[in-house]
Amino acid sequence: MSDGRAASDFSGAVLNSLVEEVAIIDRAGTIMQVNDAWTRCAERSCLDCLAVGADLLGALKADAARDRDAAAVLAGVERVLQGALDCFEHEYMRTRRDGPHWFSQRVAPLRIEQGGAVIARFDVTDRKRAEQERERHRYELGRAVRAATLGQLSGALAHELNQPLTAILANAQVGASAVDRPGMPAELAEVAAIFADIVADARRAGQVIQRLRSLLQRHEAKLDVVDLNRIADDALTLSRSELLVRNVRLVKQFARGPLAVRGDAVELQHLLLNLIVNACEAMVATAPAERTLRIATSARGSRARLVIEDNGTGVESGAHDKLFEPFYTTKEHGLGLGLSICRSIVALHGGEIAIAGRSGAGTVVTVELPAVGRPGERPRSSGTFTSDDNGPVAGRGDAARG
Amino acid sequence: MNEDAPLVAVVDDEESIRRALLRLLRSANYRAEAFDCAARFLESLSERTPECLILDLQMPAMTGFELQQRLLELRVRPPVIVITAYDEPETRARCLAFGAERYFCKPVDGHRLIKSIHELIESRRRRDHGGVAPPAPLV
Repeated sequence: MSDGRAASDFSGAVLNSLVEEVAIIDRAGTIMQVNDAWTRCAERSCLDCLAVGADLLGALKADAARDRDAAAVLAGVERVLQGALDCFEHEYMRTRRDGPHWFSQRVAPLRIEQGGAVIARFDVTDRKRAEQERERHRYELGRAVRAATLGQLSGALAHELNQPLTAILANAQVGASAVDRPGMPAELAEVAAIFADIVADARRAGQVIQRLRSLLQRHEAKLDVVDLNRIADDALTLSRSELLVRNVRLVKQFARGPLAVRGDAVELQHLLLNLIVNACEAMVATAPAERTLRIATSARGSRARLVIEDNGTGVESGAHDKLFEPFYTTKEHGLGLGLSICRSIVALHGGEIAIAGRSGAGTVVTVELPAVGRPGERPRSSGTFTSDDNGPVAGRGDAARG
Repeated sequence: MNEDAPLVAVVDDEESIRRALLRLLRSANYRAEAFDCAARFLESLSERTPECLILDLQMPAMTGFELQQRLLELRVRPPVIVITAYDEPETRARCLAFGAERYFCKPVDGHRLIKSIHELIESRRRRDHGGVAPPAPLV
């Protein structure tokens, strides 16, 4: 075998071992050589995989007018062929027979005297789908947090505006009654009219605030039989990016099988998200390697139990009595409504919420909701917990955040 | 001011509200005093007990809920009218469970507030002593 033949076989073998779809084009843009991956793609009649001898530049020019990606690739390939660009990279989507695929394409100059270029294309569909999924989760989490924040903000605004309105309304009513005497002079009649206007406007402002608050408050609860495990899983899916960004390790200990409760899925998810975000924020000062969020569900007789535990800052001794009070917060920028809303949600479901822990030793939030059994089915008496997990509230002191 | 007029206490940490409610109460011929915190009101009980208490909920140190609980423990039970700027069904239920007789959202309508005070004092006097009803409010 001649040296040239051996070299050609070697380079062909190297090309065919690549998972990328590779094509080599000459200076004019005609395909000179392709690897097996490219051929397999062409055999599947993929429109963007032309065979050897085809005019790639011509095909791109034909597509460029109606396809922005083709126009971008055409410009890139031409610049590489002209020697104006060392490397051109582009990501684009194509619909193949089995659905949409995303590709990352790289065009590099073929460094031989005759010129030309090497096109390497890699299917990045899985990566792209994972990115899209992460983006969707981020969006949904953001939407849930925005809705919760808006509800909290409307509560805070209502509080701050209704305070001065109370004084305005009472003062104006006293003023009106002070001047409103039979036979009062004309100038006092005008003052009485002014007070009457202030009273009317203060009432109107109060009604506007009330309507706005109703609008932004949580929706009317719709109670159905829902699976607490599923809701906890959904909330964790929504929080996945949050946990990743904050380096929080997740420990899941769910009861086997569905854990049916009668509840509003949106409200319960809101509850879970609030508690998860609270737990994450409490672990800011914890060493990243030690940040652990434990979420457990279990059946306890006729109750379904949910436990969310972190190893964050906990709460100062004596503060736990106020944790569920509106506007009580230990966060620098907190509104102090999160746990108050959590308690409202739990109360709506006929359940209880308790917080335990001590300063510097983490927080355990326990929620218990009435469980729902199928007709004729006895409530389950045990979940998957080990024996040390039968009462996180007792003995752990007090903790949490508002 | 008529010394026999019923005494009404206001506990609210917001100064402008205390001032406005004092004006409102006095203009309706009540004797009125205001406290900026629950502790000061509790101290005043050693000297006199109001015939009606207008109570805010969100206050630093001791909340309106806690004051209601303390009054239950002390067995001092003037009729309580809760006024709050943060209205939630659960808050309302909790106040009524603590024995509050009326619950108003801020901004409170002065006429309704005075009418409630009059009704509550009248009802309490009749219950406790078969006594004489207070004069009808002017506002």
